[in-house]
Amino acid sequence: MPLELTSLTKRFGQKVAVEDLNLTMASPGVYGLIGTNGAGKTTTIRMLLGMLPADEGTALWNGTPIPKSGLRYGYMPEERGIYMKTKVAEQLLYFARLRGMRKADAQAAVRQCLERLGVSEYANMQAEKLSKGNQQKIQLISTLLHDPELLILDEPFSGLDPLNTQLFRDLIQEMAAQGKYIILSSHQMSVVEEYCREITLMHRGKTILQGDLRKIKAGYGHTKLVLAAPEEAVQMAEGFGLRLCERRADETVFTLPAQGGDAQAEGFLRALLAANLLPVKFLLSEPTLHEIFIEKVGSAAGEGGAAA
Amino acid sequence: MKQVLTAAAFTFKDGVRKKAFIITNIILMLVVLVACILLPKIGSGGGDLLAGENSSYGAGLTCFLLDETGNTAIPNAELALQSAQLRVTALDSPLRLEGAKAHVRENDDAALVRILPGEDGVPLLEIYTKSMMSAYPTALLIRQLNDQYRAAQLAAYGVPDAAVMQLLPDLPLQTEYVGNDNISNMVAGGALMFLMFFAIYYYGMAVAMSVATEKSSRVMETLLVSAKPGRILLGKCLGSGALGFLQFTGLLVFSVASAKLLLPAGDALPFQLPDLSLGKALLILLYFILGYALFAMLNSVCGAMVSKMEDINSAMMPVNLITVASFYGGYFANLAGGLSGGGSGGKLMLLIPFTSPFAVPYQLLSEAPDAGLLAGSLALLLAAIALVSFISMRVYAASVLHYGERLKWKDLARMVGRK
Repeated sequence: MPLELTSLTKRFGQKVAVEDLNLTMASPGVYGLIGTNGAGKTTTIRMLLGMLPADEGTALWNGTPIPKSGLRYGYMPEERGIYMKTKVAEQLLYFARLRGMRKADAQAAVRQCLERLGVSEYANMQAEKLSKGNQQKIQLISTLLHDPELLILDEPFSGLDPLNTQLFRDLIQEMAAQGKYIILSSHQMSVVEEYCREITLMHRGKTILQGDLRKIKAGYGHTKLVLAAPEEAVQMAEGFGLRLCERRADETVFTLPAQGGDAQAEGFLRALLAANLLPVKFLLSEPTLHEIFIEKVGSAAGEGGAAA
Repeated sequence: MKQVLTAAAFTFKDGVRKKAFIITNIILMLVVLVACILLPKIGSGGGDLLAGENSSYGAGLTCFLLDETGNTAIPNAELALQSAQLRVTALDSPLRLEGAKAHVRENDDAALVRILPGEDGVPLLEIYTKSMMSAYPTALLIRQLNDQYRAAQLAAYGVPDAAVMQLLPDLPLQTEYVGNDNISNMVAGGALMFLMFFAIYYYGMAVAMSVATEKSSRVMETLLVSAKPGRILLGKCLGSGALGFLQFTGLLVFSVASAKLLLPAGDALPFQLPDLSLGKALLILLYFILGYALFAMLNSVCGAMVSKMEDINSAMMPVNLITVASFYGGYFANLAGGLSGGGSGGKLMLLIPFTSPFAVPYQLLSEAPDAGLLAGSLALLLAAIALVSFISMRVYAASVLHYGERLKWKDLARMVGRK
């Protein structure tokens, strides 16, 4: 098992920042680490990278304790950190050299990464003269220079424009395809949903949801019906126990009943066809990660509040 | 070690390119050049005043002369003063005394000489100038009139003129200072102490600022993934230290070279340049390096304590106080010891690790400290550096990822204890 965190716990005084976290990444790909602010994601990452010692538990890479395994990390922190007054290429070379790369290799890697992310023209400029998006690219390059095996990206898309977001997305997919292990920490649930095969949802240091995202969502069953059909169809829906959830410009979303939702939807579809109201779109959907997140964190917060 | 050197090289290069470093060096070099140009001029003012028989120092100056002895005790006094290029006005009556005094009271370039009857027939000289701070060369007046009086006396005793001419000039004189009160070396020692203090203070502060900047800009997290905190800190201290060393030694070399090229040799200077053997120079540099290491490590803790740059000054206050107190402790103990021929206070300052980097170089210039004392001082300083480095690296590692409010010293102690 390449990455295995077992019963990882960290306390700061009386406060438990991470409690009994178990996490495994058996194969390359993207793993989602999600949670509210103060959930313990950053503390987990710091323990994982050996920046903070764990109070209890182990973090292993191929069965060897981290960080003594010689694992090549790449870490892009949430708060961007580069030397603003220093030239781009120079600081990248410094980061690469700190990671033990030979000078010639480091120079080649810097050149290649700058070209890959389309910022080679800024190589000899001070970082402070770059736009925020380009500074973020420099930060990402500093993470990738040494060809890491394990990559941890903390909110990689925040503050990026759509073009740069797409560039970052392509890059993450490319790295996943290359067999890298990527841990993605993000508040953007759509991003996590798009990339992550497995997730861990944390709240106040505790793991409140974990596992294969498809299985998690499948466990909820279909909870919504998205319908694009004539207005009469919308009127008919209520007769089948479908509750209007959201009206969009060209479609309507209904919430399915918790029990027998699929059967009700099927009956509704048959009725539509019988009435010759052909829907342009009739989509039964599982809950989004965003909805699962809200539900889980909400109930966890409620439990916490009740306990308090 | 490779990571330490990489961090050191980056810190060094970053520092060398800073405008502040370049401008500071230009200013310091200009100060040295100006000092080398001005010092001989200052030196030529008083040093050579009485050296020449035909001095023209009195050119353009006015001298009122009133002989009240009644028997011309100093014959040809007026001529003697005129030979020094003075404009002499002989007063023929004491009634004109007040008028002459009034003129002197208003003019810097005028003096009044009264020759009064003294005891045993030896005349008494009374000289009036505008004020104590007046630049009027009264020594010249005294010299001219003394010579004239002695020549007249010798002639009266029948001494031939040739013999009188042999007797009047002063004997050639050369003064060597071999005791503790060698003012030139004390001045040089004091100047060196100031220079070392500023270098240690400034570059120690640079370490704190650098750590705080990396923390506040969040570069620290990127760095800590790449290398252990202790290695980054060591590299940073090494790089800043190398920069300070370069500036310090560069300035010393530039000063020595400027002095050799621009300062005239010998008596033209108002002081002697200090004797600095290679051994002493190396010891001074060693103390500079060790002193820097000690204070840089202390400063690094201050940098690690804060998350925002605006908190750095208050975090550095205790270390700044220690630095300044150590400097003044070393300086004044040395000054007092040097003037009084050494004392236990001075010796103590040589041994205390915080004061020794300032006190020992001073001592090395003013006198050779006892070898045992020096060895003890070095041993204590090295031990203190090892201890402070150990604690600083632990504090740094424990606090460098702390964000939010500035850490208090007791928080640090707790964090280090936990770590």
